[in-house]
Amino acid sequence: MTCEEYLDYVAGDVDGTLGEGEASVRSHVAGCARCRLERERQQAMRDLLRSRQLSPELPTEVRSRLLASLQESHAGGRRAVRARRWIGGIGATALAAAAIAVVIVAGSRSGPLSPLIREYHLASHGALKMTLATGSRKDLEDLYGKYGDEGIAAHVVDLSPAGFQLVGGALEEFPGRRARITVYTDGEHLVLCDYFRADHAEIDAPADGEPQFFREGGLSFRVRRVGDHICILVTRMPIEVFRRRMGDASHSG
Amino acid sequence: MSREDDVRATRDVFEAEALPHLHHLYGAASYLCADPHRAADLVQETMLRAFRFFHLFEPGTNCRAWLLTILHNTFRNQYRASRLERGQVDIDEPGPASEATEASLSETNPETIVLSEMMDQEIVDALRELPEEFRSAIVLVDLQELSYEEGARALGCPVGTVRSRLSRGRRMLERKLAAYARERGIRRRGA
Repeated sequence: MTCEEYLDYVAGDVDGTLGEGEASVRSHVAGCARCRLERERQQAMRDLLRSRQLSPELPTEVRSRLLASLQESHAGGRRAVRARRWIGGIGATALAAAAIAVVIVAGSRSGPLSPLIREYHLASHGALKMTLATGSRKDLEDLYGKYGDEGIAAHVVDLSPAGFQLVGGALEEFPGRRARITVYTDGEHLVLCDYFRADHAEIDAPADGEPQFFREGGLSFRVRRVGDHICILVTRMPIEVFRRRMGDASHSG
Repeated sequence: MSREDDVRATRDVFEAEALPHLHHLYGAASYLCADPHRAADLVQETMLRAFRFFHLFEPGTNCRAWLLTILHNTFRNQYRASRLERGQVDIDEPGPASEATEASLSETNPETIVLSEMMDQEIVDALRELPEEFRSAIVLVDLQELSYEEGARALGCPVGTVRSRLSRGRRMLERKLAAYARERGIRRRGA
């Protein structure tokens, strides 16, 4: 044990958490005045930290708001129970999303697009956890093929011709189906993609594959029929900007 | 018992177990977030997630440690995703604090400050200036009184890493406070 190495053990020495196998720490300190001084100084620091009130008080109004949000989230709980039996961290993603979403967009829960709107807000607030963060369409398609809803093509739309790079994908529990939400960015804007069977959803698009653009919930949507699937893209950028970017690109979605 | 009753019972147990720890969560969040609003948001998300995952909480274990683990996970996820929103596609964790932030080992001035004369706000300020990984270890173990094992779970790292971060963090903090003290003219008693 050297003095430099001891610097990683001081806390354990002071707190009495060193194990049997760490006897070399004690024997070093016993023979080293400098490290004994270090231990003394850290002991004083530790005692100080533990004797003072160094955390701010929880303001009353913050406490009230927290309690109110818990009450409000209560309705989301039943959905979560149903989604509980997912594999590993994937379930966690959906549950966290469902929980936070209740708070973020109360009042726009009913329409067929509202789950996707919620996902977008989660992503833009930094609260959407990727099931898989990857720039590889192949990797994401593997994940979707393995864990996505049966019957939904694992296909991941390539938006690179429009200047959006793949960031990753999240498997989410939407009403009546397991959605796979793909996230893209161009460094400035986010684009989310939802992809599902045309006969499944309340959302439809012309069979000729002509994309439809519209605004809802403060976001721009692009809906397009791809074979027997529907591809929905959503972004915050203005509809004309989004249309131009998508229109310029001869992408495969 | 009907599903409604089940949900209500879960909520009652959750409130009894988790709500007493609200101010601890806020305290920990305040050291992670830049301002009180973000800290409150982080606590809110933590509590909502905790409620959803409450079936995973083992009764009789340390609920505060469990909640703080969720808080840190939420913080890490948010941190990554918010960088994404800003277009930073590289979502790697920040690297370890540079050695320059740590007082050098060769600094041999044996003068010990009278720590008891430091004001709470000075300690809080100094702690906030530490790199996040060292600050979090101190907040969880010294301020929130978690064990090393519980701290390791919250931070998602081995126990030895908690010990090392705590050791280095306390040392940095002590050196910072010593510098403050020198500025203010506080010296070792009798020096």
